[in-house]
Amino acid sequence: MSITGCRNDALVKLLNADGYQPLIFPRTGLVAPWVYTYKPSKQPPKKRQLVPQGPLSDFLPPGTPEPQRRSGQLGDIEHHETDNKSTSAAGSFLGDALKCIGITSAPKLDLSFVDGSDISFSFEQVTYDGLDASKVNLLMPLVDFNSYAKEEQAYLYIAYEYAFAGKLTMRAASSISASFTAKAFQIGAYLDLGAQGQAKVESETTISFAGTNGVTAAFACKIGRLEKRGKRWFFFATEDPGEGFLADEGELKPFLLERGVVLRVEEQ
Amino acid sequence: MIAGDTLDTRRDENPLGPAGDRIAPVLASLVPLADPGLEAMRQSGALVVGEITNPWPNAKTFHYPDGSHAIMFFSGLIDFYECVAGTLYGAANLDRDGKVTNAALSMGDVVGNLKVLFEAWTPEGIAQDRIARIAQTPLSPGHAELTALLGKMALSFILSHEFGHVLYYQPPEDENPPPGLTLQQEAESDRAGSRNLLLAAYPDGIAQQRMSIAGVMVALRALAVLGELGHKFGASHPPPLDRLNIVVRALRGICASERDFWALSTIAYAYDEQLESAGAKAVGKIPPRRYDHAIARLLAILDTIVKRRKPPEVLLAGMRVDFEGLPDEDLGVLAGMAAILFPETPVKTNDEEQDKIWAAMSAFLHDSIAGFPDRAREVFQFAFNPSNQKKG
Repeated sequence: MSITGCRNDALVKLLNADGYQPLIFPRTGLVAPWVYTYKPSKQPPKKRQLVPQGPLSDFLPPGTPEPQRRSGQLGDIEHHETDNKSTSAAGSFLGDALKCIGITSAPKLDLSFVDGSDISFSFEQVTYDGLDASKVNLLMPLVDFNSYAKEEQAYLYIAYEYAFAGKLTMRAASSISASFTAKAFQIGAYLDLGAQGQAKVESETTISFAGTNGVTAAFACKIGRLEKRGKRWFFFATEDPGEGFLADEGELKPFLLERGVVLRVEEQ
Repeated sequence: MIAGDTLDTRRDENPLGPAGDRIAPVLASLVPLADPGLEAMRQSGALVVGEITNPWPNAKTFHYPDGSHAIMFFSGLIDFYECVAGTLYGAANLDRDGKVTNAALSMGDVVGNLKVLFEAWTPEGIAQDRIARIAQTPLSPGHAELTALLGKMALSFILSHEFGHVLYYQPPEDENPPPGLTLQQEAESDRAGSRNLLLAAYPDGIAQQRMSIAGVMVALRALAVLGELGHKFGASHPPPLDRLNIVVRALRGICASERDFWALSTIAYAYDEQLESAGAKAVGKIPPRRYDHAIARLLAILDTIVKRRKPPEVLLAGMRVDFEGLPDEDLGVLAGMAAILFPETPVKTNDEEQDKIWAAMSAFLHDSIAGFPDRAREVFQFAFNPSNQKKG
């Protein structure tokens, strides 16, 4: 389980509430639906690992027509910010958040100029693209996961929609220090994103980060669980209802691998 | 296995409160589990049990494709029953070997707390800010100990019920979803749960057995009261009142005699009556008078009198509400059951000490009937007349 940022951060909770699992992807260019495994590693300390297995089309007969895609803007998330963070937490979050917009290696991320100001982040230019969960289920009679051993099949999941961000914005709290304002305009001395991106001073309190190649990167996905009944697979976008002492009184929540955290996708 | 890993994940998402896993001691008290198959699963890690932080008042069993099962108690359910137990014991006068510790809460507090508990049961789960409004007068050490025990027993019953979900589970063999439990299987899980809880308490003595029955009945009566107050429970399970009647029949069935059942259920019926009465008052109704509550009261009063904790006149004073308020038919049932429990020739069992107490209770009751109010005296004299007993 590779987790970044702060547990139950406001932005993460908002994404979860909308059914999104925040993720850090080591690469760009992903197109849902995509198959993953999420399971404990065999090596101690047996943390859970999220590993991409390939596009769903790899597990379907050749020529299977793709269902109609859906895409659009995610305005609510675009303008939602993280909780205020201390300088050290902000530095950690910034590094991980930059990866979410495709800036995987930044030569210099020095936030000392913040001088203790509380910092919050938001993703902007946010869009989504993928399949409706019901469309994924239509593909299930055709899917073939026999290349996985039976015990491995229990850990398969399908990401059916990705959320993309083109820009990351860092804002200081309203009570910013004078040194922040002055130093922010010498941004190059503190922040170097290398060839992958650039930082831009938007105002006295705001710095934005964007990739140089114009490619938006996925920073979250909607993901569902798989269940094999007899010989057929079924796909569920909602959490397992279980069997209760009392009847369920609330609606089922969207399925998530883990709430409150940002997971790191690990290539193997 | 997936069950253990999933439980860990749920706890990573929302860490447990300062009290830690409040279900761990409940499970520990049932180990080794009565069913050998379940116990083997528990030992192998294929069955895990634990609390998760979730405001919903429920406990759930999840089944996984590797054959493992997780029983998760939501913190909202535990909070709910802790409040119920604290309220009931907070309003009880404790008498331990003649040393009385007075109740910290009044009957008015019980009614008020139940109302708040009902309001705390929201569509988002148990609302913590409302739970916090419940009268939390500090309990004496004795009250606190018994509160904890009653709460633990209520949760033990629910855990025992969830074991039924594991035992009845059938992995899907075709494309149909695995069948959920039928109403009959839910009822059987309640029966088995209550039976197993009582059986698990046997080695620990009569006090634990009494508390186990109290836990079962309080667990379901609290829900039945919520139903009376207007809460709509889903149709996938029998209504709480039906579930209560089912477990009472089951418990009665495994007790060796009527005497055993009633001796073990006096505490349970006392709290059952308190909850039902508070629920009625909460909606402006007159609390019902019931013969089972009256039987339990009669036994409790006779017990305190023969143990010289209360003076003899307490019998009439304590039973007045029943002698005056019970309908004729129910008064007849009370008298008939008293005649069965206290025959002219006392019953002999393997427990000489209890036999002596019951013989003394019987003698005192027989001597007291002549002094009962007219209606009660006539009914009791009729029931205790050997020729009428033979007629059935």
